Amino acid sequence: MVTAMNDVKHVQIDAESHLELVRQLDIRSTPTTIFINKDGIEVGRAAGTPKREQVLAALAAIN
Amino acid sequence: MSEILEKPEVRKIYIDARGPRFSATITTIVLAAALVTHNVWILAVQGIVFLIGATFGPQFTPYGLLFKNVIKPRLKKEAPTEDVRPPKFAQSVGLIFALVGIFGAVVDRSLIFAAATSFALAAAFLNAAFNYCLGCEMYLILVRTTTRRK
Repeated sequence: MVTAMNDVKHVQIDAESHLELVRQLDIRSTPTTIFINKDGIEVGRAAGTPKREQVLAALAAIN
Repeated sequence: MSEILEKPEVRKIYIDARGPRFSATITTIVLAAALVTHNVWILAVQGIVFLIGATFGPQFTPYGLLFKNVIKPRLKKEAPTEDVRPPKFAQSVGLIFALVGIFGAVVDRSLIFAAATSFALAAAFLNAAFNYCLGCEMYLILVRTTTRRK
């Protein structure tokens, strides 16, 4: 869905190939969605598959 | 960069996320029937389903095949996908409870049978009703803690 937004970049990462990163970011389950602002700072996260409205609300809060 | 969509070896372990929840609904009914009728054979049948799910993946159990062949063609929305490994692990947790329950019945301890079946039933119900898969939640935490840090 974010392909329609040109100012948002969507990156999908396989958790089990990056266990070091999983520990660093304290990911407890898959999928986990992390919202990162333009400065590379985490501004929100959602465990489980977030609903479309939740993603839109989280993205709107960043701007 | 999308590692999941670009790497074929990662993509192939992704399954339709709606399947396990559908399977959990049938599992809930079957386990409830086993508990109410106190019938170890029903639990044994569910145990075989768990064994298939734990060995080959939840998409290959009779419930998973029913979803794939009967339910999925009728669903119109785009399929959300998920990593097969957590639900596959959850099937093995279910298998352990089924085995404990069967053991309880064999040694004629109905409390063990009832307790083990109830635990499995509770987990299946959580998955079916709230899409909360207890075994899946345990999975990554377990992998994180059991694998050696580099």
